[in-house]
Amino acid sequence: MNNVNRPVIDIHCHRECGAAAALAKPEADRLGHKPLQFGNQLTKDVNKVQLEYLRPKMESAEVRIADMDEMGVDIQALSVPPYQLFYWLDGDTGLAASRAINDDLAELVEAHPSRFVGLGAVPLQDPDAAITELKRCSSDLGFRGVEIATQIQGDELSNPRFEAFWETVEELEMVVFIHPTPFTHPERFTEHFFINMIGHPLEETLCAGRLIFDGVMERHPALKIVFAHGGGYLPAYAGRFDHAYHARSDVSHGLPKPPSEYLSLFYFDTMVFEADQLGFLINRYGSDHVLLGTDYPYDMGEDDPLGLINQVDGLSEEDRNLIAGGNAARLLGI
Amino acid sequence: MTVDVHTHLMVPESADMTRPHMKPEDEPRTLFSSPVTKELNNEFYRLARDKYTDPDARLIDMDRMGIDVQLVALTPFHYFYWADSDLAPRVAAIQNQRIAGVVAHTPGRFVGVGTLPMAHPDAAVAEARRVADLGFPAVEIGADVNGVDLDDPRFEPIWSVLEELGLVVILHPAGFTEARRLTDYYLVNVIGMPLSTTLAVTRLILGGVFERHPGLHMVLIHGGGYLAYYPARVDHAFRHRPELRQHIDRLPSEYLASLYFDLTVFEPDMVEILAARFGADHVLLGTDYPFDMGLADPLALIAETNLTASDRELISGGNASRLFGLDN
Repeated sequence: MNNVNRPVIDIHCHRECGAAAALAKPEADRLGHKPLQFGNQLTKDVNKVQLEYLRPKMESAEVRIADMDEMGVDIQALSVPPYQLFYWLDGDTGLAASRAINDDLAELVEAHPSRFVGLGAVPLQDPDAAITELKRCSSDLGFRGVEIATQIQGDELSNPRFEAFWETVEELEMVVFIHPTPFTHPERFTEHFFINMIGHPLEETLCAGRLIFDGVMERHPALKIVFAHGGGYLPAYAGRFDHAYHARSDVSHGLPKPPSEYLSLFYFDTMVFEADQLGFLINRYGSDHVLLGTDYPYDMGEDDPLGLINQVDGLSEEDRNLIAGGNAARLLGI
Repeated sequence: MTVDVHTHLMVPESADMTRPHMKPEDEPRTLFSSPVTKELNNEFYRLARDKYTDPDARLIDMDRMGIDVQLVALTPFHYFYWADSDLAPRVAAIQNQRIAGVVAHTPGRFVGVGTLPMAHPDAAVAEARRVADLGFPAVEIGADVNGVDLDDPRFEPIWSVLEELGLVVILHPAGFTEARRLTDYYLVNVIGMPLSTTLAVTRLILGGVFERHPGLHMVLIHGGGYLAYYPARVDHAFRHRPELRQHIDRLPSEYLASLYFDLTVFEPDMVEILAARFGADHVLLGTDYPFDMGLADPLALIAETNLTASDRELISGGNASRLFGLDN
C-alpha cells in the first residue's frame, strides 16, 4: 500500500482516558453505567472480553503506533470512545472529565507530534462549559476539532440550547466529528447486537436529519461536520427525505432548499465495510467529502482501510489521496 | 403488461368495527405523529377517499399512470393487529372480502393481496387458507405485530402455511414503534418506515426464518428500507460477533439476495443500485398509491435509469407476472 500520498490520516479512531474514567466513577457507580454494557447477556459478555483485550492498545502508545504502521495509517485523529463522552455527568464534573480527556490527548500528541492529533471532548450537557472547553481546545491545546455524540442525553443537536455552541464552532473553524451513542429507545434493539449494528446508523440518520430540517445547516453552512459510519443510513437513501420535502408542508416547514443540498455539506468517513457502498458515497458526495476512518481498535472497525479504498472502482489517484489523508489534512490544518 | 405491486385500499367498515375498541397507545405511529401531521393526513384522506375505496377512481389513475394491473393491499394503518381474538379474525375476513370485491369489479386489472390477523396465529393460519381460496397470490404483513418482531416463535406456523400455500409475502411496515424522536417533520414515516423494514428483515434473517422456510417469497417495499443499501454492516457484525450467529450459518446478505424489492426509492440511481446488487429480476414496480409518499410516475422513474430495455420490462411487469402467477 504505497500508492497514496502521505500522511494517511484516520479520522475515526478511539483512545480511552483513564483519568476521566476515574473522575466519572462515583457517578457511574451510582447510576450503574458501565462501558458497552448494552444489549443481551451475550453482547455484554463479548464486550467485556473485548475491553480487556483492547487494554494494551488503549494504554500503550507503542502498541498503537505498531498497529497504525501495520494498517498504513500515519496519523490518528484521536477521540475518546463514545461511552467516555460522559454527558450524564453534572456540568462541573463533566467539564473536569472533558479537561482530563483533552489534557491526556494533548500530552500524547506532544509526545508523538507526527503520529497523533486530538479531537477533543466538550461537556455539551452544559453548553456554556462546552464553549469554554472548545475555546481551550482551539487556543491552548491546538486541537482543530472535537468529537460530539449524535444526541445529548436525548436532546437533538439542533436543540436551541446548542445554537451558541454551533456559532462558536463555526467561528473557530473547528471540525466536529459526530459519533453515535446507543439509540435512546432500544426496546427492540436488545438482540443480535442491534444496538450498534442498526442503532448507530439510525442515530446518525436522525442526527443529520435534525441538523438539516431544524435549519442548523441553513444557519451555519460553513460548519465542517464529519459523520462516522459513512453517515449511517441517510446518505444512501436521501431520496425519501427529498420526496417528503416536496410532497408535504409538515416536512418542508420553511426550509429554503431540499434536504439533500444540506446533506451534501457534510463529510463522511469510510466506515461502510464494502467497496460498492464506499464508491456510492464518493460518487454522490464527492471524493473531497469522504475521509478515511477505521473505528480502531474495536471489532466493528476496518483493519485494512487503504485496501478498502483501493477496491473502489474508477477512483483517480487524486481521489484516493484526498480520501486517504488529503481531506483530513485540509480540514484539520495538518 | 405493467404491474404495480404496492398500492393501498381502505375498508371503512373495518375501521368502523374497530374504532370503539381502539386505545391511542395501540397505534404508536399515530400517537407519535405531530398535530400538524395528523391534520395534514386527515385532510389528505378526505380528499383522496375515492382513490382509497373506489375501483373506478383507481382505474382512472391507473390509466393515467400507465399501470395495467394493481395488486391491491390494505393500508397499513388498517391492520388493527391490536384487536382481540374475537374481533381480529372478523375484521380480517371483512377486509379480505372487500379486496375480493375490488378484484371482481374489474377482473384483469386488480389482483388481491390478503391481510391476516397476525396477533392470533391460529386465526391467521385459517385466514391464510381462505385468502388462497379467494385466489389471491399474496398476503401483506406488517413489519411487527404490536411491537413483537416477526422472528418470534409464535409466528412460525404462519410462515409454514404461507410457504405451503405459495402465498408471497409483501412486508409493509406501519412505522416504528419506539418513535418518540420521530414526531417532527413526518419522520414517523420518512425514517420510521425504512427503519421498521430494516429491523424486521434483519431479524427475519438472523432469527433463521428464511433458513427454515426457503420456499417463502417476500417483497420488501420502499426498496427494502435501509438494509438494501447497507447490508455490509450486518455482514461485518455477523463475521465478528457471536450474537448474530445463533440461528444461521450463512452471511445475512445471502438471505437478503433472495428477496424482492419495490421501486419506491424515488431516485433512478437507487433503482440502479437495487438492480445491480440483487438483479433486475428482483426489482418490482411499486408506487405506494395513493399516498403522497408514493411515486406519481413510476414508468418515468424506470425510464430515467440506465438499465437495459429487457431489465426495464422485467421491473415494470415481467417479474411481478412471474412471481404472482399473473400469466395464468
